[in-house]
Amino acid sequence: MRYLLILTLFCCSLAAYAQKVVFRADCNAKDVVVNNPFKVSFVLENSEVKNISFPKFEKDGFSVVQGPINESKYTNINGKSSSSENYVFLLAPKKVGKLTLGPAKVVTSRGKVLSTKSIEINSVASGKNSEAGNDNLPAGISGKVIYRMVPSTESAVPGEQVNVDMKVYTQLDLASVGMTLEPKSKQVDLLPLNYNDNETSVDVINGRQFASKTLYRFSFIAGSPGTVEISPSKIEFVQAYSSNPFSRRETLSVMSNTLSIEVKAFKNEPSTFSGAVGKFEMFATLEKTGINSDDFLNVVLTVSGVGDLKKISGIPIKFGKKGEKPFEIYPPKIVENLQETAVGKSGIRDFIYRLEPNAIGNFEMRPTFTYFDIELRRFVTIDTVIPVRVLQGKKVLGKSVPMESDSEAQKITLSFGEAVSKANWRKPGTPFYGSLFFWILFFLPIILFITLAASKVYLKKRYEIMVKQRALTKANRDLNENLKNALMHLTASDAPAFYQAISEAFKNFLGKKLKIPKAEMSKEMMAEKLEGLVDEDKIRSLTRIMKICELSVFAGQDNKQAMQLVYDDSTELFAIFTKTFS
Amino acid sequence: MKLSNFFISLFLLPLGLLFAQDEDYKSNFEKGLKAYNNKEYASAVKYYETSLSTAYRSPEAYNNLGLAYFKTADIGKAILSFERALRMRPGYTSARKNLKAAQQYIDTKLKKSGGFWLFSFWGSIGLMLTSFSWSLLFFLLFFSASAAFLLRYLKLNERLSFVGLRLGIIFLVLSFICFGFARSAASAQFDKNLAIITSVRAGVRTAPGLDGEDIMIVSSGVKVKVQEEMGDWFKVRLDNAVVGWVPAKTLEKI
Repeated sequence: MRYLLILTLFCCSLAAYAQKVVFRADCNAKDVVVNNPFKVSFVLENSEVKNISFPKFEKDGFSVVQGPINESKYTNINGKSSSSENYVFLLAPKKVGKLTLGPAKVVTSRGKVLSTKSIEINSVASGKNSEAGNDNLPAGISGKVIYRMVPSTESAVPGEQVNVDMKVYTQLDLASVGMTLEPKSKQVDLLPLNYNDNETSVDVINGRQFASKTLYRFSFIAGSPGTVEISPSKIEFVQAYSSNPFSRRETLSVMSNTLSIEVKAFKNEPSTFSGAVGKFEMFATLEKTGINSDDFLNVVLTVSGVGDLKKISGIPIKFGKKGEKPFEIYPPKIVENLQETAVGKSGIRDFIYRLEPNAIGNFEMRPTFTYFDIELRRFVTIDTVIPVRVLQGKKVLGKSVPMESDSEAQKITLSFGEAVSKANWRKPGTPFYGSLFFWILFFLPIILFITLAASKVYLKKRYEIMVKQRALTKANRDLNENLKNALMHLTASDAPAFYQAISEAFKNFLGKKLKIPKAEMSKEMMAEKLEGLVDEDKIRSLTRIMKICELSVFAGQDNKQAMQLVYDDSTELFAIFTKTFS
Repeated sequence: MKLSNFFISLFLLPLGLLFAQDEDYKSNFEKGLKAYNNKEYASAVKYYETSLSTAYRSPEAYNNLGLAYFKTADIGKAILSFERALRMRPGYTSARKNLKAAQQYIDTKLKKSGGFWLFSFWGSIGLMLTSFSWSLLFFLLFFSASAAFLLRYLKLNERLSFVGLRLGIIFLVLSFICFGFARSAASAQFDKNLAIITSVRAGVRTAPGLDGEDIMIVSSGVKVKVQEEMGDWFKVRLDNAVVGWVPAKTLEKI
């Protein structure tokens, strides 16, 4: 239950939030007698006031008689809530002339800043009671209650709806006001309208300020040209002479003026004038703009607005060129929704036309509605152009009417083919272009080329390594052979042969490894080529051994111990070189 | 019923439905053709629409549907159907001819703006075949180019190497031209943003919603490109380069 309550409150708050926030200033007077009060209300709708600033009344030429009187309202009708906060002032102009009351500003609880429009007040000087004695009221109150018939227009046209307001102007507190004599006219039928004037206004008559209110509203439709005379009306009211409920009370009556309204004939009446007088709109609705020659075309022309819609019997529909009759137009079916409101007759009238084609082609349909506008005081024509196409159907029409523009008709030169009797059906699939398979096929040759190139490089390298290894194996084999010979000569203590074998072993091995031509082979060349490949002391050791080998040719080096040492050093060096060049 | 029989029935049911559907679309196509020949165009539209509401599509059925729509004076739907036929088979000459004939009846004539003639020429060549055909042609030439380059790469002999390089270049250039056509045809065939105005009139507005001001009114049958979707409103680009918003219900995507 608690959750339901919270939900309801939440919904209500949302609904309240959805209402439009408005801040406005209402005034019940346009003309005011100097130093006489009138009412100004500043109204904030659908929000709360956080901060409000009113106009500078004194500076604008007004004195505050009373106020601000704060009123708050909250309504909820069928779930639709609205709220308003009013600040009411009674003000009085301090001087004669046109005065402007500046705008008020408000900051709402949601931080929105709004302001009202300025209000123009015409302040007039006070006048004498010139109406006194013209009525049948007792002295003292004579001229303080005036009853008048106020028409919506002084001059009407035939068919115009004229409203007549029964308005009472008073400087007294009146009670039990009622009409005892209704206005009458011999020329027209006066019909009472359901009108409620809730607000009391301020009006100035001959320099005297009155509170005024419209009590009744009558309406009539002006007939033929001439003058419409409306006889006076009479109201009764109760006048109390003091606030004491037991004091003397008197029922008094007051008569209104006689009203004359001139009805003038239309000038330059257009041929399309429908007879409607008021304020109207028209729009057209079509189910479709293209039909074939077997079909009918239904066109709905809707007229809505204020005025006597019954006067409109139909809306003329024309087509393109004069004299053309591409359609047979049948009398319309009329659907209407008419109302009598406070402003008089109003509503909507639909004219449903049925059009039968007489010809094939493209046509421009022009429904035209002309009425007399009571605000603009002139004739207004509403017309629209609707393109309609009629194609050849089963029914062969007798004639073919070209389109409005002949050149357009000539443009239609291409014809349609016949319907196909055999169909190839397939399920719509995903497009091949851009699919995964498409890209696989796209990249396949590229991948193949890359693989081929990579394989070629790999095989080439592999071949080089193989050649290199082969050369290394041969060099090692030659080396082993030379070392074996040297060892044999060492055992046999054959010094020259031993050193020769050692020297040959180094020259063969390093000659192949360092690619030194035989012609350039020397210990210096070997040392130079080995630089950076092996340690310096190893190079020195090699140079030393090669030097010993060279010297052995010229001097006998048959010390076996020295030979053994050279052999050992040589095998050690060969081990290092083999490792270096492998 | 035995349990085994029940399972067999359960297995056969979808198969039966599949065949039933298969027969359905073909029979509706036949009925549509019959109705069209009897000049019962509204019925023909109904039958063709039913036949195309299955999982199967046919360019011929779309073409016939377009003709039937034209006979019922629905230019927008007629053009939409011909476009759909051409989307399935860009080289379908009957549908192209019918589309051009139907386009004569569009009230709003829009002048194409901007486009360079070469692009439209390129596009028209691309539409001579389907994107699938262009793709196949592309691969044929692309693989030929690869084979020719392989001859050059392998350097089996001087003559083959010479011929291989030149042939490879020619095939490669041709293959990439076909690739371009395949791309152009695919965008025409599978672009999901192309649409046709199907309502009698559509107001192109400056903003989505009725608050937007009317830029222009377009009539049914006008082709547009949908650029953006926002609720019930589509932002579209017209051929005359006008961009604006139209209610979603006024158009149908091809």
